[in-house]
Order: sequence, then structure tokens, then C-alpha cells
Amino acid sequence: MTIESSAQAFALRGVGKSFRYFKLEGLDLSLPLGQIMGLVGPNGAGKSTTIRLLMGLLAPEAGLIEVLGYPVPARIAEAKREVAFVADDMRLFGGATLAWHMQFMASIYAGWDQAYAVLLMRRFGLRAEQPVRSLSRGEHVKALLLLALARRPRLLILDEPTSGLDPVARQELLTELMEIVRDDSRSILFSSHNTMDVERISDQIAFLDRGRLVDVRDKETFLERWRRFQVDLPLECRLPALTDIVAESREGRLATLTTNHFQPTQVAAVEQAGGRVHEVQRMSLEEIFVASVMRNRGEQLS
Amino acid sequence: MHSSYIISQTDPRPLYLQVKEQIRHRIAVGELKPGDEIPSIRALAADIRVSVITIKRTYLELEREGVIQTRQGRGSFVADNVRLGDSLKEQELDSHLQAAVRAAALLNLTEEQLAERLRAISRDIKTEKP
Amino acid sequence: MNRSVFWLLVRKDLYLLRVLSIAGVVIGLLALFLMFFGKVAYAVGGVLYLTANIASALMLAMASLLGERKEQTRLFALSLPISGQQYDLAKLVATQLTYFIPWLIMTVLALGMVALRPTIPAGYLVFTILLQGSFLTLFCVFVATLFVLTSEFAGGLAILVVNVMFTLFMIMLSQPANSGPLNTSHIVWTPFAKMTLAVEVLMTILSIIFALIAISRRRDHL
Repeated sequence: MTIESSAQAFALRGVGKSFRYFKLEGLDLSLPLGQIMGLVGPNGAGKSTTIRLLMGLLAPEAGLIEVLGYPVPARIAEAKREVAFVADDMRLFGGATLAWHMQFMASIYAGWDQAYAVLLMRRFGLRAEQPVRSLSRGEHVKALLLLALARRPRLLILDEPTSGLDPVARQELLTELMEIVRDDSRSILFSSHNTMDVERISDQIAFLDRGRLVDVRDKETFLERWRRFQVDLPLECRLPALTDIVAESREGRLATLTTNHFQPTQVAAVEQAGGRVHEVQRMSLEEIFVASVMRNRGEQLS
Repeated sequence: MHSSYIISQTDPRPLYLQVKEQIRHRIAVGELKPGDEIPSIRALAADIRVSVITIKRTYLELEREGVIQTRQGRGSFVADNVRLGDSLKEQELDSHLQAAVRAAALLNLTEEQLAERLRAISRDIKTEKP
Repeated sequence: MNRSVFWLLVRKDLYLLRVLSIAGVVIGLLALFLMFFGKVAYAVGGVLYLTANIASALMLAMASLLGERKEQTRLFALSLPISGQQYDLAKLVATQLTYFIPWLIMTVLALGMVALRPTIPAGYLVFTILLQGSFLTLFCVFVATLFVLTSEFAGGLAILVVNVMFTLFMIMLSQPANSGPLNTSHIVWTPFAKMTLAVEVLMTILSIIFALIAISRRRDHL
């Protein structure tokens, strides 16, 4: 228990940061304790920037940042005692072994669980005496994850954790990540291109594109609200104007409508206009994401 | 610790529904009996590697359907007087039938023709069974 | 609490750079040793000594300051429970120590050699002090430059500048007016010698201050 009590794993309010060719603006994002948030976005959307802002590695130009109740970057050193961070472009010290790193971490973090570290080492197929320099890319990522997980951190922040991991290692990582949620005071933030993993284990999902937060809500709501209608429509009929339609396309007698807020009244409206809704499809997270981004970009242009 | 729940992301059914049906199935075959304790939401989420929010939804719906009961601070249990919600099974059957009716309409089949097809398929399925 | 992580990082750098540190001392010793075996060996040893000292200074600074950036271990170090400023400070301290300790050893040995060998005029003590001082000064200036400008290009530029400065120093030192007093058996602090020493001390202190200013002003650590 820390002195700071906070009901949130982290909070960004009105955060902005600009670079020469990129600008992150008006970012409002937070995560309650005990939950997992998946951050999804194209390359260059600002996921890594957001994560680095949370870790105090970049100073915000606007807005406030808090991690586990600690203001960042003011008290980032204290926050980092309980936050573990792994990024896909991070590397361990080449001139040392994995054992050296484990000892290094154990001497820094009170919560270091040596038994768990050894277990993870076996599960990930790593050897303690292995020099870091000799590790393959995938093994290096596994080593970084091992060092982060064995600390039993209250908040785990991962930037593309599964890149470079073989399918078996990926499943092992998901298993270890889900072990964390047994404890309702521990939280995870991870950014990933692997939308299937995000869809499976996230409680909250945030979409980023071109420096802006496109959408954020809990996973079940996302999956329940988005639908695609396959409509059969006589050539002379026109599709009705409906609210909450994000995308619309027509090829002769076939039309497809994408909605981000499904209501049965929409189906009724289409049928009243002379169409027949022959299928209402659920959408995968990836499809929802792509549709959201396309709509956001369309709005940005107009 | 891996549970024997089979959850597939390539299954068209949403995750919460798969979990729900697996729990109901366990009750139906007697693997879970009335009064038996079921894992806490977080424990099940970790066991089958599905998000907590999904398991929360599952348990909420199962409770609403009278399949399970959650006692504050004591955990979740299979309801003592569990009915597997025949009404829900009937609802499911109805939605399948609705789809069949719509498909038949596309082929311009009459009700009698649809019924005949139903009988034929029913016969085929019965004869397929070993 | 953060103090211990700070010193852990410093020790980590000293550990990882130990090979370079030790190599510098070993080669320097070898060079000094060579200088006793006749005129040619003396010249060769002399050049080797100078090269070893300058090269180890530059290589240590670059390995310490730029190596982590290049090898992406910087991000790992920054994930530890310290502020970005503490990380930079630990880097500065480690870099200085990793050179200072071998430098101190070499200086003591060189001065000892001059003092104890009867064949070397006592005046050379002044020369040795100024020479060793120049190594330390140039090292500190180089480190400060890398702290203020963090690119590899800046590193290359700084190397050029340091080499030029050192060459100028040696040229000035070899002027008859300046090198004459060195050959006497008395320790003579000429105005030139005093001024050189003063400049060395001043530049060393200023460069450390500049590095500290750069550290305190940095807000983005990537």
C-alpha cells in the first residue's frame, strides 16, 4: 500500500506533445485499477509517445499525467518502483548475463520474486548463464518480460510486447499477463498490432490515430455496438438516411452498412425503405478499428 | 493452470456467449451440480485467459437467467433450483427458424415446401447418427 | 531509496566499461616501460603513451555516453526507479570515475617514475603534471560536449576539436622557451607553466559545470 491512494492505474488529462512532424493533442485517457487496457493504432499514431509520456521519458507540453496516483514527471522515480515497462525497442546490457540482470533487479525492487523468475525462465526456455549478447531477438524480448513480470509490479506497461515472439511464447505471455488480473489491484496497459490478443484479454480498448484518441470504451460495448448490415435492395430503392452509420457502400442490388451504435430500429428503417436485411454481422476488433480510423480520417479531411 | 473450457476466437459466437454455453453445458451433463461453487470472476478469467469484463458479463447474464447465484463475499455458485432456461433455448430455436424462413423467402418457397425440407433434413440427420 | 539505484547504475557502468579502463592503464604502463630502452624506443614509447591516453579518454567517453543510446539499453536503464535527471547524473559520475581512476594511477606512476629515475631531470615533473592535466581536461571537455550535443556527429566533431587542442598544446610545450626549463634539475614553474595549469583547471571545472547545466535543463530523455 502506498501513501497515495488512487482508484486509477493511470490518468492523462488534456495531454499534448509536439514534435517536428507529429503532434499528440488533447489526450484524455485513464484506466481504473485492476483492469487491462489495450492500445491500438497504426504506426506513428502516438502509442509509443503516450507510453513514454506515462513513463516520464517525455515531458508533456500541456495537460496532467498521473501514474498510480503519483504526478508525472514530478514523482516518476517513486512511481517506477511499482511500474514495470517493456518496449520492443528496449535491450538489456549486452556485456552481462541474464543471471546478472536478475540479481540487478532483485537488488532494486523489493517485490522481486526469485522463485517466479526461475519458473518463467524455464517456461520461456532461457538459461541464467546466457550472455545477453547471444540472445536472439525473441529470447531478448522474453528476457525483458521475465524481468518485468517477476517484479510483480502493480502496473505493467508494454509497448508491442508480442512483436518478435513465436506463437508459443505469445501464448505463454498471455497466460502470464492474465495471471496478473487475479489480483484486482494490479493493472496492465499494452499496445499491440495483434488485435486478436487485444480483443481477447482487454477490458478497455483505446484507438489512436495521428496523434488523437479516436475512441475509447470497454471491450464488450465496442463489440456490441458495431454491426455490419448486408442489405438486398432493389435497384430503384435508395438507402434511408440513418443515424450512427459510419460507412455505407452499394454495388447494384447489394449494399453494406456499418454502424457504430446498433439498434433494431435501424433494421426496421432499412426494411421500410424497401430493402431486406439478410444478415447483421458482428465485427471483429480489427474491423471495428479500421472502420473507426477510416471514419476519423474522413472527418479530419472534411 | 489451464482450464478445460474451450474458447475459440475463430468461432463466430462472441466470447461471453461461448463461456456461458460452456458453463450451462457443464451443468446440463452434471459436471456442475446445484450448489457447487464456480470460480470467482477473476479466477476464471485468468484460467481461460479471457478478459475480466467478459466473464463479468457472463456471470451477470447467468445470474439474471437464474443459472448461478453470487453471494456477496462468499463467491458464486450454481443455483440450487437451476433451470437451464428452456425459454432461452426456445428463443435460440426461434432465431434459427427465423433465419430459415427468410432464406426460404429468398428462394420463393411456400410454407409447405419449407416444412417438407425440414422433414427431409430431420430424416437425414437421424439416419446419419451412428 | 533512489540513492541506491543511482549508485547501482554507476557501479554497473564501471563494471561494463572495465575492459576499456584497464586496457588504457596497461598500454600506458607498457609505453612508459618502453621509454627506457634507447632513443628509438623512447620515441615510440612516447607516442604510444600519448596515443593510449587520448584514445582511451575518447573511447571511454563514447562507449559510456553514446553506447547506451546506440544499443537501446538506455530505454531499459530509464525504466528503472530513477528520474531522468538522476540517470543522466549517474552517467556523468560513472563516466568521470571510469576515466579518473585509471588516470590517477597513471599520473602517480608517471610522477613516481620521473621523481625516482636519476636520468630524468626534475624539471620534467612540471611537464608530467601539465601533460597528465591536459589529458584530464580534454576528457572532461569531450564529455561535456557529448552531454550538451548528444548525437554521434557531435561526437566526431568533438574528437576533431580535442585532437586539435592537444596538438596545439604539444606544439606550444615544445617551443624552446617553454621546454627549456624542463631539462633542468630544478622544478621550475614558469609563467607559461602556471598559466597552462590554471587554464587546465578552469576548463575542467567549467566543462563539468556545463554538463551539469545540460543535465538540469533536459526535459525529454529520448
